[in-house]
Amino acid sequence: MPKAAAAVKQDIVGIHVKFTLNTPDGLRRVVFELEKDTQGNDVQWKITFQLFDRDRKTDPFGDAIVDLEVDVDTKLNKKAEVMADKGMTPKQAAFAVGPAADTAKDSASGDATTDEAKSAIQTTLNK
Amino acid sequence: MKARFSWRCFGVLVLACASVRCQSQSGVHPSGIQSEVQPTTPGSCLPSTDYETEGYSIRNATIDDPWHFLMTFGAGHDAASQTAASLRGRPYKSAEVRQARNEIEKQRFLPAEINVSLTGIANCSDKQLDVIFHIFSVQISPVLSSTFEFRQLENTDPQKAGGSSLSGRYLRITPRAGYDQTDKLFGGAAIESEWPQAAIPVDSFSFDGVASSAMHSLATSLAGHYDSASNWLGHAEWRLDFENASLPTGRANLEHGSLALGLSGQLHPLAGVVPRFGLTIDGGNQHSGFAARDLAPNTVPGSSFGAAKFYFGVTAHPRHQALTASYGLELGSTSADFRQDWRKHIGDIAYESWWPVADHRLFEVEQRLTAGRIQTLRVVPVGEKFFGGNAEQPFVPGDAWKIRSNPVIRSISANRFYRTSTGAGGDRFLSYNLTAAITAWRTPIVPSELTTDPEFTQKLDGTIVSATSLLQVTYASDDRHFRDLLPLLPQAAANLDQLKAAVTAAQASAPSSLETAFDVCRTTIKSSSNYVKKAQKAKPVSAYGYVQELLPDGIAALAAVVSACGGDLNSALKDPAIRSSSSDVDAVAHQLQTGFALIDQEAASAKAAADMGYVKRTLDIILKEVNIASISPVFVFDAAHIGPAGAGPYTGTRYGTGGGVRFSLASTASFTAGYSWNVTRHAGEAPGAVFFSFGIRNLLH
Repeated sequence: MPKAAAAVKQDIVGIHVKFTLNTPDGLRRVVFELEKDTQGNDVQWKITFQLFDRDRKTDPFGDAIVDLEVDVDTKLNKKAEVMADKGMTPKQAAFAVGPAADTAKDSASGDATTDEAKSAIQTTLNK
Repeated sequence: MKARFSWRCFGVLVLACASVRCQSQSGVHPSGIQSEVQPTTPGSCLPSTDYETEGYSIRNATIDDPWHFLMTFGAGHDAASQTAASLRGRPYKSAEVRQARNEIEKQRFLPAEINVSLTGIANCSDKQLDVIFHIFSVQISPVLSSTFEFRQLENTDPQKAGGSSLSGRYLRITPRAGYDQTDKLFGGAAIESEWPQAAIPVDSFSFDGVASSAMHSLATSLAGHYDSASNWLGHAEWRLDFENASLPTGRANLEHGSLALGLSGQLHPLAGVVPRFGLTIDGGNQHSGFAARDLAPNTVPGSSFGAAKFYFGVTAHPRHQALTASYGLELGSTSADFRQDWRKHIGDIAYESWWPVADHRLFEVEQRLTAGRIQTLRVVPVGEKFFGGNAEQPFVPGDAWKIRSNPVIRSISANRFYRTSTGAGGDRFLSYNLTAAITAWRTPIVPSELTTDPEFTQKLDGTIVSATSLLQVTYASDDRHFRDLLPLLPQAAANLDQLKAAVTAAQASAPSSLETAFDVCRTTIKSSSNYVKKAQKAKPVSAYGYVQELLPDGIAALAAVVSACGGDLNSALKDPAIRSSSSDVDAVAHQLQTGFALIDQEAASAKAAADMGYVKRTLDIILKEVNIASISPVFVFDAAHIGPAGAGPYTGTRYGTGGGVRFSLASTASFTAGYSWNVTRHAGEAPGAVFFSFGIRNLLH
């Protein structure tokens, strides 16, 4: 049901923010995407996490070794919104390029479950 | 090779202008698809409306993309516009709009660090609405965006300044043609190609050649580059250049053929100033049509030569200003034993400032002061001496860092300002150039609907903060205190293994009521061991996140081990081995925490903020100041002196003043034309000269 809100010039119903974090050694690239879709009062946030790795800077990155989509627990909607608006904190960035990236990589090789990987990625919001 | 002020392919400019006018008048993309954002009706859409359930249909769907103009002149496929167009007339379905957004992003998101897309609903009336897809992609080098040359890029090639053309692989061909009183009617082409650096550290090739009945000039180069966000050397370039030119002076041609190997580098900004340096080794032949009697003593019409050029300087690009100051020293020789036959000193300062006088309208002032001196120790070829006029001669041809090395005066044709009291070619000069321009007409790159949208600016700011945070982590992981604590990780791993063994040994004789406490203890040990082992294998920037998790800054994994095993479990067990091992874990945890606390986070944060300060400023310029096309009236004033000076025609000082108009068509053409009067005209000199600066870019890109 529509809220009793004032009419606006433009109603933003979709937001997609995509950060590409390249480590300075050029060997690892983390793509962290936050998507928000609004339909009426229903708000859904989704995190997409991709990890690219290479042995040498001269090699191409090729396909993502990890490509995960996580539907954010609605309890974390507020935190997702804050991250999209205010950006990642240094703690979140450190977790994203370290533990979250590695857990996701482990899930690709079978050393971690997909659920563990998704949980690690979602944990970035809680940092 | 000399940079020329000349006519170049005026027809192409007219076509380009026609194309822009067509677009702005009709709102129709050259592909035939309407893709400009429609004006929105203020206050017509209610937030939180379920447009699908309420039965709205899509009146119009458009894309708002600041880099859209690239599609106008490039060979880009406009599948994104077709996707938007396919929504028109259809019932509003959230899933379809989302799918369309995904397709548009695939086409329009660039391989850049920052990508933001917003889907907006506007003009909600009569159960119809408009869908607007806002797309913004940008990538800006923190090091390069601090330079004077980056200011030129913001004006002339904003999509490159914003990183939107950084595909890493392209071939670009630019036709060149023009007329100059000295050079006559000339034509040619420039070819640039770039590819990702592989085993050989070379990633670009360029060729630039023009010829006329009076002159020719060819330059080709192979180059490579290096960039680092954290090493002391922020950017470096190396290049191999070949040149061959025959340039008229109105009396005799100067001929030049050479091969040069150069290296230049720049550091990260220090208090906003970027120090830079370079070295070039150059060798070849120089000849001329001058007779010995036309020349000063110890000056020869031609010879083979070898030269080493050393140059250094600083550049800065604070808000609304750009500055470069450079000094170059050339040690030259006409013989193979590389004895010093001459020394050339060049000092060059350029300063630009601009003030916004209205939305996307600027008042710009450009000034340049250049001085040069040649010390002839034995002999010097006349081609090394100073020839002035309305053509600029770079100290290091081919380098992106432009150090001017001759007197530029726009009221005298190219290379015709050279007469001195001792003969052709000056051995000293001083010149000052002033250009002032004000924007009279413009079309902004980023429409104000986007720049004034708080949702967009907030999300964009958020991405900048994310990039800054990653840089801060990078700098923190470079801190010596962090590097010093990494050797503690093997000890932490050993202590955890020892505790695990003690817990396993104790469990055999423990009561079953403690099973849960054992499980919690083992889980915490496993989690911490995992973090420690991953940190040991990871590169420092990734290891940083693991170490953070081990400590109270993260989830305090080691403290959890001590609490679960040494506390909860062992308070009941009283096992001395567990107590001892738990204490060891606690001790190493404290050591790690002490080291981690010593990391200079303020310095890391300040470095990251300084790096990203330039990115923020450049983004601000792109959003608020850069235009796709603009027209500005221009005023010019020049003063130049060449020496040694004497009486009569050799007094050596000239003044020129005039005006004209500057037309900029970003990414495609930049054109300045006008007339400058030779106020202190001497016998045999023209009353003035028409000056042109005209470049065409990305014609086939």
